Formats: sequence, C-alpha cells, structure tokens
Amino acid sequence: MGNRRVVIDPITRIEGHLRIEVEVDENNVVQKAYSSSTLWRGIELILKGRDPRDAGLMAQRICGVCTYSHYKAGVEAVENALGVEAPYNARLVRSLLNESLYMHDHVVHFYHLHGLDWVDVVSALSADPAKASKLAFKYSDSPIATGTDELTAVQKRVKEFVDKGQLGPFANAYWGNGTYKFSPEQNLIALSHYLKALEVQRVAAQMFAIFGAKQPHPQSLVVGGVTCVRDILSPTRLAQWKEKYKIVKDFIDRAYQADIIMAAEAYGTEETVLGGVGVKNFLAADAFMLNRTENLFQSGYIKNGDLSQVYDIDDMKIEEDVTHAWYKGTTPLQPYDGVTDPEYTGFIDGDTVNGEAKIIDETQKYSWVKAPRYDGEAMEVGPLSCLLVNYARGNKKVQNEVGAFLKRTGLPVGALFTTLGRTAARMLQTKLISDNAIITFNSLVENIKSDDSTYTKFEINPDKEYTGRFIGEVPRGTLSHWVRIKNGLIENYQAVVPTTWNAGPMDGNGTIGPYEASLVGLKLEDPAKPLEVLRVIHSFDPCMSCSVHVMDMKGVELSEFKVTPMSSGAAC
Amino acid sequence: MKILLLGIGNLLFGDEGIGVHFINYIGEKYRFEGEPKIDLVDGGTLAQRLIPIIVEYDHVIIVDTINAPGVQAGEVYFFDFDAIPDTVDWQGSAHEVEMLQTLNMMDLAGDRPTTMIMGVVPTVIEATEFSLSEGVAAAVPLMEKTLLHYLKSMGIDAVKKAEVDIQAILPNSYRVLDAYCI
Repeated sequence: MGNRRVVIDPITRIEGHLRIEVEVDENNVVQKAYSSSTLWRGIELILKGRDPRDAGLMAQRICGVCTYSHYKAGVEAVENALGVEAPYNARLVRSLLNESLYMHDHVVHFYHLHGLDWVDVVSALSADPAKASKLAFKYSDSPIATGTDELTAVQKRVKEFVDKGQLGPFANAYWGNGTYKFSPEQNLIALSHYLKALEVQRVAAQMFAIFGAKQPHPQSLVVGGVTCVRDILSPTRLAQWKEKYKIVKDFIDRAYQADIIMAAEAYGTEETVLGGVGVKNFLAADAFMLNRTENLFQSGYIKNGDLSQVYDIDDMKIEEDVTHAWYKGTTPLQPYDGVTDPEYTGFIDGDTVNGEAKIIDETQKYSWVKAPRYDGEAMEVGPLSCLLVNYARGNKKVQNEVGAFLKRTGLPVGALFTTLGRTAARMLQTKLISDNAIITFNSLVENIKSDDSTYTKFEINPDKEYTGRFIGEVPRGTLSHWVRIKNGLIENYQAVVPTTWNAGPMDGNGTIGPYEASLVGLKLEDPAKPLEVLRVIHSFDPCMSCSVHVMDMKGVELSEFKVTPMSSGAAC
Repeated sequence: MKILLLGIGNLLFGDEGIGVHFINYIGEKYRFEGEPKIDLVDGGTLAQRLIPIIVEYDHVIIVDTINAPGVQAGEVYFFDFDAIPDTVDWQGSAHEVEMLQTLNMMDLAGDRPTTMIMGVVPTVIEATEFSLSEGVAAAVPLMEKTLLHYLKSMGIDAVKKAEVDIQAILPNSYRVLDAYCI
C-alpha cells in the first residue's frame, strides 16, 4: 500500500490562511509534508512609486497582528537607506513598544491560539476544583486565578457556554485525542488561565498604546524619530505604563511560566512533541535595546544544531527562491533586487484519505509564500532560534533563564530542539523580555532628565539612489524589509517575513523549509483528527502576513437581513 | 452610553477595505450631535486584538465585508449579532481568528456589548490597490442611509460638515487618524 495524502485546509486558530498536506504510510507516519499559503500577498506592489516616508504606515497594513512590527521595519529600513539615526530617546521608545508587543502577542498566542493543542477543555469540565487549586502550587509559589471558588466558577461558565452548542473558540479542536496529556485538574488550571489571559491581553494592549499613540495601527513613529513627545515627558503617562507593565508581567510569571512548566512535566514523554525540528539551522537578529551599550538579544545563526559555534549574518547572503512559489522566475534573488510577479497555477485532482480532492502538485508551484534561504540553506526563525543563537553566543541572561527552566523541569538541553522546546522557548523569551523591559524604561526615564530630543532631521536627495534594510526580531521571528529609493520615491520594496522563513515551500535544490521538515516522521493517532500536526505547526505561531478579512457566515440564511433602498429607512 | 462604529478590513486589497474606507468617509462627511457619544475606529484586520477597545463601549456597530451562500456583490446586510442562528457554522472559514470568533470569545468572557453588523458583499479582494469596485462603491449611499437612520433611532443626529467623495479619500485612507486613543 502506498502513501495516503491527508489535507488540512485551513489550519485553524492561526492568523491568515495556511494549508498543510502530509503523506502518511500504512502506520500513519508522515513521510512527506507540503506547506501552502493560499492567499495572495502582494504588499510589495502597492509601495512602488510612493513617498518613502510613508513606507511604514503602508507596511503596517500587511498584517492584522504585527502592525507595529511592519511599521517599525518600514520606518527603519528607510532610515537605514538615508543614513539617518533616530535619537536615543526615540530608539528606546521603539524598543519599549516592541517589548510591549511581545508581552501581548506571546500570551495571546499561547493561550488563545496554541493552548488548545495542549489543553483538553472537555476534560477540564470533569476536574475537581479543590484538587486543582492545591495542584497549582506545584508549578508556581503564588499561582494566579486558581482558587477553588474561581476554578468552580470557570468550570460553570465554560460548561454553560459549551451547553449552548456554540463551541466558538473551542471548536475545531480534537477533544479526547490520546496525545492530550494533562489530567482534568491540570486542564482546569490552564483553562482558567485562558480566561484570565483574555483580561490581561487588554492591559497589554493599553500598555502598548501609551507610546504607540493608539492601537490598532500605531502612529507615533516617523522616519527620523518618534512623535509621542508629550507622552514621554509626562510623569502620569510613564506611571501608567509601569502600572500596566506590572499586571502583565505578573501574569507571565505566575500563569504563563507555571503552565509551561506543567506542560513540560506532562508532555515530557509524549513522542509527538519531542521531534519537530527538521531544519536544524537557526537564525536570529539583534533586538531590544536596554541602554546605549546593551541589547537583550544578539544576532547570528547556528548550523546543524551545533551550539558550539555562532556565525555573523551577512545581509547579502539572504535570498528568496520562488521555484515552488506562485511567482514568475526560478533564480533566487537578494531582496534588494526581489521581484513579486504572480503566476498562479492552482491545484490538481488527486486521492486523499477523504476521497478525491484538489491537492498540491509538489512538482510544480504550490504556495504564495516564497522560500527565503541564507547562503542557500533553509533556516528556522522565531523565539526558539533567538534563544538558541543567544545561548550559543554566551548571552548570560539567556543562559541563566534557559538553565533554570531545564533544571526545574529536569529536561536536557536537547529537549529544546523539539515542538515542546519551541513552545517553551516562546514563554522563556517572553519572561526574559518582561524581566528586562523595565531596564529600557528606566534608561528612558533617566535620559529625558537631560535630553528631550526625539527627532533627527534628514533630506531625501532626488538625484541620489539609496538602498537600505531593516533586520530585526518581531514576535514570530526575524523580519527584514528592503527598500530601494530612486528619484525620491520607492523603486523597489520587499518584506521577508518570519513565516516565509518557516512556512516556505521547497526550493530549486529540493531543500524543504522548517514547517515541512518538522512534520516528517510524525506519527498520527488518527489521520482524520490530526491534532499532532496542528500542535507542531502552531508551535511556530503561523501568521500568513496578508490578512484579508471577510466575515464568512457559512450556513446562515442572510436574506432576512438584507437592506434595500426601499427598506433602509425601516431597517431594524 | 458610548457607541463604537468599527470599520474592519484590509485597505490594501480593494473592496476588502470597504469597512475602513466607509468609516473614514462618514468621519470626513459628518459630525455627530446628541447622546449617546459615538467614536469611529479603523479596526484593520485585528480581530481579537480589538477586544480591549470594544469592551469600552456599550454598543458596537461593525462594518465589514460579508460572505454567505447566495449573496451577491454589492448587497448590504444589517442585523443584530444576536439574531444569527446558533447553528452558524463559521469554522473552516478562511479567516479563522476573525470578527465572529472574536465576538464569541467576548461572549465567553461575558462582556460583549450589543452588537450590530453592517456587511457588504465584496467582489475584488485580490488586487493590491486602494480602490473599490463599481458594485461596492454603489452600495455606499445605501450603507450610509441605513447607518444614519439607525443612529437617529439611537438619538444621534449626523450633521453634514463637508461634501465628500469616497473615491477621493481612498488613496489616503491608510493615514487617517482615528478618533480612538487609549
């Protein structure tokens, strides 16, 4: 019997649209995997011919989650091209914003997108709240939202919700799958934190907005600096930031950290989360300015999982391959010369475990995502890469945090190179950021006592040609924006986003990327309920970067709500 | 009592941006008098990350593109979110963590305000440009009339402050400042 094809489309609980196809053998072990983004992403085209000072504002619309990441990247790529350095205050503010974003983003990702791959909500409904309340102290000295009364209330609230038949956010999980490992009590603790995180994420969004001017779509960055001058100079605003920061940090310490320690214990022997690192090359960029001399994380890359050697990044060795992506051409291009010229070829008819269906033709083009390569090699980017590169660099803060986690959970360093490790790395990165954001904040407070500059003047000479790039870390990994400016206008613009590094298709040499490689060898309990695939893919935090947004009301008879010129006066 | 008029969509993708373009158009054209107070916010494609903003209001009107079996491009729908049947199946939509799930998540947390949805059916959502198709642009007067009538029933008068052509504001929609700041 040959391999059978399993199609998962869409992968749920992600931002954007992603299709995964795997071929399983007779033992349900994945032999081959294909990753396809099925939404057209053409941001590069809309920026052509625009004023470079607008690059950030437009680029922030690429994404419905990381608006700030693309905003900052667009602004800093142009600064890099023009040779402008924003003042120290401005750079600290940008760093603070990035820190706030991570604290928001990673909490939301773990609890509301990825968490249900680890937490069986149905099982939580049969837990003993008193027992769970006691158990919570095993994972934190001062657990949050786990009092017996509170857990009882959570159980009641969720049960009522589920009983209404509207599973909503809890739908499309695979309850009861044998690879869920939490006890009912552990599930209940995590479920309570799921709800608590809904509250805390609001505070995180407000913390971001203090220096972002507003949320969504921050407006406080400009080429040359920042515009939130009055916020920086207002003791009230600064105090507000600190208040909100404490609340979010508290949740990270007492819930997020505790739940990952709990997961490490429960899932430490679950085989389907102990693989999942098929590409063992990891790349990361500099991030989080703490003061004039220190960044929290350093850049570099490691190869073949070898932590004994770190290499410096050479920008010019980054290229994008489109052999199997729906764009014209087959020659890998450096992003300064990148071309985004669509050539859609669609799917073919084929056999799947669910019968005849449209499937990927892996011999042809099959995704809207390009395949970025460094020196010809596939690289994983993201929190795990950041930690591994910094661990290998000898970054003391990272080594201490990772070391303490491994000691506490009894896991070896090798456990980092797994799906479980990738999920843990996101928490550890959040913890490091939340512990150190206060240093950035204090640097700002100290500096504004004697220096209030927030903007550096610059000129764009229409007779000159400029090229510049931003390379930095954003919640999903290493992001770079590349701009070429001619006649005072943007001539070419390319964004190489974290998800393309991880989710890209096969390249012209037949090398596969991290998503595809992470699935090979994975054993599925039941191909019709591929929870294991979701767990591996979600651990990367997929974000397909071009958010198109249509309310899709499948199964709803909308006609009774239709407004016509005749009825508009009387509507509702 | 506070009302939020929330425009949803990605203005880089033609008709996809109508929710955002529409609230910008309304904001340019009218000022609002009376109680309750109303704020206009460009929500982009943020979905659940809009929860912190939505919970600040007693009443939210969401303007978005909408899709369902049998609907035609340019058609306008207006309804109370609570009127959607429980059997609604939005799992498997292309936009997994999106507005409907966001509202559902707020139900779970128990703090969703009264929610009206104004939806228009898009045609062009693949072109990377600031533009609206003819059909969707033609729906704007109906959306406007429906909105103003509804606001009036809530006690809000819209006073015209300028003549505005929605096509003319499209190219700059990405830099319009919202009313909402935290």
